[in-house]
Amino acid sequence: MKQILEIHKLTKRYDTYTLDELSFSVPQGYIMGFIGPNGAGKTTTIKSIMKMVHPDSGEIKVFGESLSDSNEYNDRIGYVMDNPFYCESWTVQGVEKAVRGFYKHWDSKVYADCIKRFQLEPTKTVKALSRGMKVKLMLAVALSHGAELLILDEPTSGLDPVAREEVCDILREFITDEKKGVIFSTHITSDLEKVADYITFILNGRLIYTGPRDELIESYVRVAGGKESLNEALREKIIGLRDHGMGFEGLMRREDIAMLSSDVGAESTTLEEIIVFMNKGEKNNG
Amino acid sequence: MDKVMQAGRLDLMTLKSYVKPHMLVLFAGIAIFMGFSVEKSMSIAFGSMIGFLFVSYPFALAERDNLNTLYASLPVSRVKMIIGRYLFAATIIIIGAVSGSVLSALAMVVDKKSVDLKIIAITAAAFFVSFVLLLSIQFPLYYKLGYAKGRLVVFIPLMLVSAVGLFVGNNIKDTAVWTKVMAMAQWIETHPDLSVALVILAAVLSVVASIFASVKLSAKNEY
Repeated sequence: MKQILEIHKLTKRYDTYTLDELSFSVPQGYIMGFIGPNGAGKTTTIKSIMKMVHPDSGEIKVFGESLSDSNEYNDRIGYVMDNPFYCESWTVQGVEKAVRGFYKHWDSKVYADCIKRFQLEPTKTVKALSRGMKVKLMLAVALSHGAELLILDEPTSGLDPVAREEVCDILREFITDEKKGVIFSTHITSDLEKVADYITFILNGRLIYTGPRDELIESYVRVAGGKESLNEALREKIIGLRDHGMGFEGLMRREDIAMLSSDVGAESTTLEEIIVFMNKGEKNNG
Repeated sequence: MDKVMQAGRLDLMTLKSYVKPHMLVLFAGIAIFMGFSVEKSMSIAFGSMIGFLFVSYPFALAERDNLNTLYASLPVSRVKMIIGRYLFAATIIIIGAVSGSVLSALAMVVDKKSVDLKIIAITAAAFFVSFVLLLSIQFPLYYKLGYAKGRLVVFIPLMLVSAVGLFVGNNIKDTAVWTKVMAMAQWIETHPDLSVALVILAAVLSVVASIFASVKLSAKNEY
């Protein structure tokens, strides 16, 4: 499988935390969900790909090539974040005028189609657009220059369910071309359950998991039981143990469920629960 | 070169969206008024100064509207973006100086005085070179510190230069240095073309040095 984005031992040290030798890759033709709680290092990773922060060490390759000073590869990358990065007083039409000259393969017809389809008013200023519309504007730019890799940093945060679904639809459509790829950073995991094929999960700057989404979800179960069932051996195996008056709950590796007594329930879990319990587990372990 | 032009054009678009026609009419009015009431060349000075004031706009708007992220997402190198900004700045100052020159000439015509194109051209060139030298100092500081912090710091070198100039001006009379300065002034007077060429060369060199400084100082910037 050809990789459209490869990150190898990416390290960036800050005073408060370190992105620690992060390695993962995004295969062509798939959507990689990039998850982790706030402050896990998702944005630092994405900004490193966009050369907006300078890693201390590690290597990033896009389309099989290391990042270079020319930034020419940005011709093939579409970057979308939660806030737009256009002049607030530019109109939707003005955004096209401002950026089209930089791209070799800019297609004004595609842009016109996108703004029509996304119901963006051409004369409306960026400032006057709703949050969802701003995200769609950035997607319109990305699609109009023929991006092959979409890098999305929390594009759906703050959007209502309808707008989020629309963004997911655009991504599904985008990925029908097998040469393309998407890295989709978000903490709204329900979006990823709809569209992501792969998941990279980071916590406190460290890689927890990278691989197929279903494999991650199937690797864990959510367990819950009464207080009397919680023995020391079980306590050690439960990730993010939540003790409460009536009993306990937490996350457990599926391979360990044989040790559960009959009065402890185990059921399928979700990406959101995995993040929550893993994060709690980290905190519990200090 | 095409990408440099695009970068300059991008800055121009950034500025254009904030400069409204009524502002230009107001500035033109002030320039004409100054041309009539004070001194004809003041129109040129005012035009160049307004142009100079506008050149720092892209730095301010980059911070306000997150445009550094836009620059990072474009398929153009940082160096070309920086050169594009200098190109934009030079264009804006030229537009200011030319507009001021036209208004100055207009004031002369209305005042029924003969229009001395040579004087106008020399005055406009002098203001252009002066403002280019100023931006050569300011831009690297903006690139290093950003607009919010930089706008205070950029005036420190200018104030220092003025203070040193004032001090030297008041204290070197009747000294050997003064004799040399006067000799230099005399040389300039007798070699006007060569002097202009040297000043232009100095301006070009300062811009080149400034671009190198901006590239170096912004290399570690993170957004």
